[in-house]
Amino acid sequence: MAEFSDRELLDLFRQEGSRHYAFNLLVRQYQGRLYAFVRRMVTDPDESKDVLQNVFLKAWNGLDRFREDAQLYSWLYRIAHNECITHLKRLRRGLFVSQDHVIERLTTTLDKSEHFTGDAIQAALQRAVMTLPDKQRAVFTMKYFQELKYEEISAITGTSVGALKSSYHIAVRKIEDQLTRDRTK
Amino acid sequence: MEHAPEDDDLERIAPMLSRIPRTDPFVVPEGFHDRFAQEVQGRLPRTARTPVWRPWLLRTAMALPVAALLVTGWWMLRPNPTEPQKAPGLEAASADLAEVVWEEDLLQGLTDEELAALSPMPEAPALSVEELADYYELTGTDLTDLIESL
Repeated sequence: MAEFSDRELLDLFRQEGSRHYAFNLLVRQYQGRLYAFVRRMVTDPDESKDVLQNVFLKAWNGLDRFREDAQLYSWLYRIAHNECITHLKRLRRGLFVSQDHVIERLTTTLDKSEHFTGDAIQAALQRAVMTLPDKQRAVFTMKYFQELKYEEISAITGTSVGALKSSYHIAVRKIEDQLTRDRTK
Repeated sequence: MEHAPEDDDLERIAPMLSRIPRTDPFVVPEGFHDRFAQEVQGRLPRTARTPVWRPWLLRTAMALPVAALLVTGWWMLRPNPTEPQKAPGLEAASADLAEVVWEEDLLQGLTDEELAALSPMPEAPALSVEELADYYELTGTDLTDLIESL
């Protein structure tokens, strides 16, 4: 699919006749990258779909107020980031359980071959990532798997670049420790 | 994939992690991306776009009718300075009669000095000699008769 610029999408969106068409183009353009992020955060495919739908519904409601000094992609990513954090918080509250139970629930997906195709070391990495606190996991996912720049992550999360660097390095060390422990078991 | 300087750092601090390929092992359900945009469209409102009300515009729009009501209320209920004050107990009498009775009641028992003090122009402006002469000439007053009468 041909990529549309932010300007083209927004111009189309602001015309009453092409509003839905423009939004359809926007969803098709960004759904892949956003799904990959949401899926790594939420892991369950059905829950990931619900979260991503909410992301785009919020985008639909807020696109009129979108300020063009920001990138559309960063703005959508920020909504997705917030939705994931909210979803995980709700999950924790709804289950009335400890962090360990939530991790267990999140890693259930890794045991189903129809949802996860990684080998043992990939599964071990995902389990290690699941042990990180939600916000740190989001930073690690954006930096390590999605290869976003610190400046981009800063625009998405509203955290300073310095704080992000620290958070990422702590996350890397935690994951390395976890992988080392798994190997020696 | 480009080899970033951060990757060297990663190999140093996390050798195990850096050896794991960065592939996406999560399976995307079949046809997900083909259906997804359509599913989102299905959840969007189909009604025409409602105008975006900016907060200040909304506040102004709500404040104007309230302000108009307040001004109208004040205008209707304000005290009328031209309306004569009616004395109690005279409602049955006509307005003219009431005014006469009221004035007579008020003026009863007052001395001449007090009456003079109530005059709308208690102190007439003093005229100069020339003005006085002009006035008598204009009114045809005989000055000799005037002096004799005084």
